[in-house]
Amino acid sequence: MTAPNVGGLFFPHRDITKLNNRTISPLVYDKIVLAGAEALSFRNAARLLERLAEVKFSSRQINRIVHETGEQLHAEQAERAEQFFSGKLACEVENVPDLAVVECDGGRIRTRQPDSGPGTHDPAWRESKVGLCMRMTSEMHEHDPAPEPPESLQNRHYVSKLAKEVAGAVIPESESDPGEAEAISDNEPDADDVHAVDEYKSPKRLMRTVLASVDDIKTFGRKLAAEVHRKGLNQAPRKAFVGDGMPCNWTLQKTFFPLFVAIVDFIHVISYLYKASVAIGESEDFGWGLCADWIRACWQGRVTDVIRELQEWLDAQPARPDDISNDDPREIVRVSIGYLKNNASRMDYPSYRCQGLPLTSTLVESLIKEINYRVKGTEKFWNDPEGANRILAVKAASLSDDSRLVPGW
Amino acid sequence: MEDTQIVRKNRSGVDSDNSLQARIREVSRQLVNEQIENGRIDLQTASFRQIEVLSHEIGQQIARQLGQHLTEKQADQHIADQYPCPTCGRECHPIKRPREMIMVDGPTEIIELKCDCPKCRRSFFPTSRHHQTE
Repeated sequence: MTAPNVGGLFFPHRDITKLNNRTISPLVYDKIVLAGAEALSFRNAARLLERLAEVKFSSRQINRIVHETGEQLHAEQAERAEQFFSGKLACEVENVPDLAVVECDGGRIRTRQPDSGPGTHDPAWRESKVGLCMRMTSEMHEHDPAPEPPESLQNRHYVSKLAKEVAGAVIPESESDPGEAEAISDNEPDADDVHAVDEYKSPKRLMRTVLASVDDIKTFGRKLAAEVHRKGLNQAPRKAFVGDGMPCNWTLQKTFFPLFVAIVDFIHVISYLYKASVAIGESEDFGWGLCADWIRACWQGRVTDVIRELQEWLDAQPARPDDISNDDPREIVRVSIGYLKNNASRMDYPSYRCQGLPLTSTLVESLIKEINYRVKGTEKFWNDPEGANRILAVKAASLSDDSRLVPGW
Repeated sequence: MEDTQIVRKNRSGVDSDNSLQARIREVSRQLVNEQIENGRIDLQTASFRQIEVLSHEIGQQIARQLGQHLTEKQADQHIADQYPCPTCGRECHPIKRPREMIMVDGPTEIIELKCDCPKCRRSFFPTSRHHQTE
């Protein structure tokens, strides 16, 4: 005697409702993920949900759901990258943007070793990468619409403040330590601080999407390239890629966005000019004149003149010893020359203004502040790398102007 | 299927199928049928997200209507009263007037009583002490 095979339970209705075995509805799930992404902590998110959405979840439940969403977002990005590089990723927008801008920058996030029991094991700092993809609009000009730098960039106190604020963000890796990282991030300028450059009427943002992860630069670049493709940004007639002077940004640009106009953030340029001028003048009082001249020269696309002047000064100095200090004026000038030389091809600012392109990377720097607000804190350690990637994916999705944070069920 | 009675129990285990629940169920059925007939939702293809969005939207509309009706009922209970003008003390007859209010379920118009003192030309709102909306 044979018994018929016992079938498992099945739920044909779920094909339509798109529900699985969750007991949380889609709209409540949306609120949980949003609260988990935007609140300072999962505990904070639980409190907000109870007060604002009248639903009660523990911080542990919110943590689990946010990580689940982050994992899914991260996996989707990887899948899209695969599809893109095998020519199978569709562009999801119909109208091609007039101007596409990609800005990249790096942040830092604290991690711990996973599966090591309660507490924080092997705490460390990891570099995170943030990519900002924007559909923008701006006017084009036959001639340079602002051949002279704005008044504020000729204001010594303003430039001094600006340069010092940026200085934290361009400390060479070897000089920074994890303890300083929090302050470095907090000292990054935001859009308000650099509005002066906007006197030229830099492009206006219409839509943004954000990617962030602790992936290696190649993996991140592939995902970013897929994102740019699916948002139709690479079809735009005008395209720009903006970053600070970090070499990895330009590796990314050359590898994945070769048709984008590469632009180095003008504010970072100013910080190097300021440091070099103070070093040569031996004080801000005596160096300011040089700084103002060099800012004007770079604004007008004459970076080679600045490099020549700096080189002439350096050549006139006594030979540098092998163990020269980083604070030595000769070393400061040498580093500045290196920065300007390496980035000279990305400093044609008059041309960028004519094309209506951005001159600074302040938007992505502001974005990093917003991300740090969620992911960084003295008590925040994320599992390396999955936990870090998940919270970064969720926060980045929350900062994006599309509906990527809304699950497809 | 529509006639199937699903008696739900609340968390304390007591049947919640009292008259209010029955009435809500009846109204819900009517609303559901209307939504389907009006093409606001296609149950052949609707995901639960779409069902939840529509349910929530209707629920919010009902809540806003309840707020409006309850304040109007409350106003009706006091409209025959007279209220002393805070300035001159003259007894005034109130009138009903709508007032915009953002409730937790969205913007609505509640009803409140308003008095216009003919002597000192002052307006005042006697139901404010009930609503505590001053």
